[in-house]
Amino acid sequence: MRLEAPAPGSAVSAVRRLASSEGKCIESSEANRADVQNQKTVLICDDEPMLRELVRASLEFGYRFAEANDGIVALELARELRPDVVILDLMLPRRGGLEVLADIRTDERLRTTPVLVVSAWPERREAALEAGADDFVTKPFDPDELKRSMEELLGME
Amino acid sequence: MTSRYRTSSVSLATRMVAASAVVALLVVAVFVGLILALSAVRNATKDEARSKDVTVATLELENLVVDVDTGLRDYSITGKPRFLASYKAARSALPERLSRLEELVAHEPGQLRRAQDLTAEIRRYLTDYADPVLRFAQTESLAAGRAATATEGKRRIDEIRARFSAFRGAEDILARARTRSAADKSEQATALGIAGLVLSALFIVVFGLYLARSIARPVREAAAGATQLAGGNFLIRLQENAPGEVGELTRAFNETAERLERARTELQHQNARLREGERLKSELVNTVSHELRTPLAGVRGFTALLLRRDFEPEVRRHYLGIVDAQARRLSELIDHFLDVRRIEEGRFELAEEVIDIAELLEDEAQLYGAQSAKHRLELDLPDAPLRVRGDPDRLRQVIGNLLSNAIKYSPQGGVVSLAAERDEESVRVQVRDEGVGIPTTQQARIFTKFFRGDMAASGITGTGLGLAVSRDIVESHGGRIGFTSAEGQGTSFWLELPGADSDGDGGPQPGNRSTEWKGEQR
Repeated sequence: MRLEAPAPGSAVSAVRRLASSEGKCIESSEANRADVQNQKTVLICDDEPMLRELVRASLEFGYRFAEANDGIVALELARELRPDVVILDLMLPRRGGLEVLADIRTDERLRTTPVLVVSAWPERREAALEAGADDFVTKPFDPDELKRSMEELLGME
Repeated sequence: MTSRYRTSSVSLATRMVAASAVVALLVVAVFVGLILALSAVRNATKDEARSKDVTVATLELENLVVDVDTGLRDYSITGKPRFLASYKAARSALPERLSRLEELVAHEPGQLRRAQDLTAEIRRYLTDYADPVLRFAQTESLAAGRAATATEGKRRIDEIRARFSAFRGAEDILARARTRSAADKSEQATALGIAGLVLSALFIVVFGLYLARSIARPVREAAAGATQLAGGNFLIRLQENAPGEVGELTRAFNETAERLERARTELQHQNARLREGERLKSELVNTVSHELRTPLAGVRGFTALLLRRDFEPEVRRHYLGIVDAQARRLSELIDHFLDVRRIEEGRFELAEEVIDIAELLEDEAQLYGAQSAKHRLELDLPDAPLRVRGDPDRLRQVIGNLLSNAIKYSPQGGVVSLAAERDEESVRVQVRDEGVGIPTTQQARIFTKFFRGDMAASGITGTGLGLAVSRDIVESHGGRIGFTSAEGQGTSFWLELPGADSDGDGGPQPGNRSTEWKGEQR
C-alpha cells in the first residue's frame, strides 16, 4: 500500500532521489547527463505529494526538481539550491506561502528568483502579487497553462 | 414558591402585635401597681382616722362613766338634786355611746371582744351597782349609799378604767401595726411601679432597636440592592437572616437576582456558542472548498495530461491510478461532509439492531487485511458473541475508519491488531498500530473536523473528517472513543459501546478466536 508510488515513464524515467529525509527531495533527469549543466532547477513547494507529481508531469523534460512539503524546508532548499524558479503553494504547513515569499524577497541572493504561486484561493492573487510573486495560477490548473507560465518566467519562449 | 417562604418563623405583623401587647401589659401592670399603692395609702389613712375615732370614743365614754360615778357619789354625799341631774344626764347618754363603740370596732375581732367585755362591765356597773345604789339612797338612807360608793363604787370604777386603759393600749398597738403595714405596702407598690415603668421604657427602646435593625435596615438594603439590580449588577445579594416578611423579601430578591444572573450567563453562553457556530460554519465552508480543490486539481490535471500527451502504458496506468484515487477521495470527502452535516443538523438516524460486533470485526479485518501487503492484521476476539445495540452500517464505518487510519499512519508496515472484549456493562474494541503515532501537541485536536496534523505533509491522504464522524457515531450509540499514542511508536484507538446482552452474565469467555490475515492471502 504505497501512497507515493515512484513515477515511471519517459518524462521522469530515470529519476534520482537526492535527499528524502524530512520530506525534501531533489530529483533530476539523468537521461541527458550532458545537459545537466543547462538544466533549470525548479523548487516545488506543496504539502500534497500528488500535486507535486502533477507539476513535475506538467513540465515534462529538461528540469531538475527539488521538492519541499512545508514552508521551512522550502526556504532551506531555496537558500541551498538557489533554484531558477520556485513554484509555491500558499497553504503550507509550519510556514505559510506568503511568509516564505516574503522571506525570499528579503533574501539578498534570492531577491530576483522568479516565484510562481499556485493556490486554491483565487482571491489571494492580489496579495500574492503584492508580496512579490511573479505569476499566479489557480488550483485546479491546466498543465499546459502551468507550463506556459513557467517558460515565460524563465524566458524560454 | 410561597410555600417555600412559609417555613420562615412568625410573621412580622404578628411580632409587632405581640411586642405592642407586651408593652401594653407592662403599662397596665404599672398602673395597677400604682393604683394598689394609692389605695393602700388611703386605707391606712382611713384606719388611722378610725383608730383616732375609737380612741376619742373611749375617752368620751370613760368621761361619761366617770361623770356617772361622780354624780352618784356626790348625790349620795350631799343629796342635792343638781348632782342627781348630772348623774341622770350621763346615765342616759351611756347606752348609745356603748353601742357606738361596738360599731366602731366591729371589723376588728380582738378589739370587738374587748369592747364587748368593756360595755358588759359598764352595763353590769349600771344595773348591778349604780341603779340599785341610787334607788337605795333615794328611798332608804344617803349614808348607806355613801358607804357603798366609797367602797364598792370605787372598786368597780377602777376596774372599768383599767379596762379602758387596756383597750386603748391594744387599739394603739393595732393602729401602729396598721400604719406600718400600710407604709410597707405603699413602698412595695411604688417600687413595683417604678420597676414596671423602667422595664416598659427598656422594652420600648429594645423593640425600637429591633424594628430598626430587622426591618428598617434590611428594607433600606433591599432598596439599595434593587437600585443596583436595576443598574445591571446581578451579582448583588442581600443578607437573608431578616425575620418574617422582610426575610421573605430578601430571599425573593436574592432568588430573582440569581435567576437574572443565570439567565444572563446562559444568554452569554448561548451567544458565544452561536458565534462559535457561525465561525465554525464559515471555516467549514472554506476548508471544504479547499479540501475539494486539491483532489479536483489532481483529477483535472492528470486527465488533461492523459488527453493531450502520449505516455507509455506504464505511466498512463500510474496516472489513471492517481485520477481514480483522487476521484475516490472526492467522493469519500463528500460522504463524510454529508455525515457531518447530518449529525450537526440532528438528522443522523441510527438503526437499532442487536448485533454481534465480533462478526462485524471479523468482516472488517478480512476486508482491510487484504488491502496492504506490508501490514499483518491480527484479530483477537472472545468466543462469546459481543452483542451491542446499534446501527451495523455506522459501526462498520467506525471500525473501517480506525483500521484504515491504522494502516495509513503506519506507512512502514507492521502489525495492526484488532481486539475486542466485554466487561460487565460494555464492549470494548481496540485498534492498535505500530505506525508514526500522534505528536503530543496534536493529540488534543485529532477529533476536530478537518484537522489532519502533520499528516498532510507526510503525504498521507485523508479528509480530516473520519475521526470526527466516528466520534459522533460512537457517542450517539451511548459509547466513548479515545486513544493512546506515542510519537514514533504507534497509536492505539479504543471504543466502548454499551453491551446489549439480556442474559446478564456476559463476562469474557476463556479461549480466544485468534486469526491472522495477511495481505498476501489474497
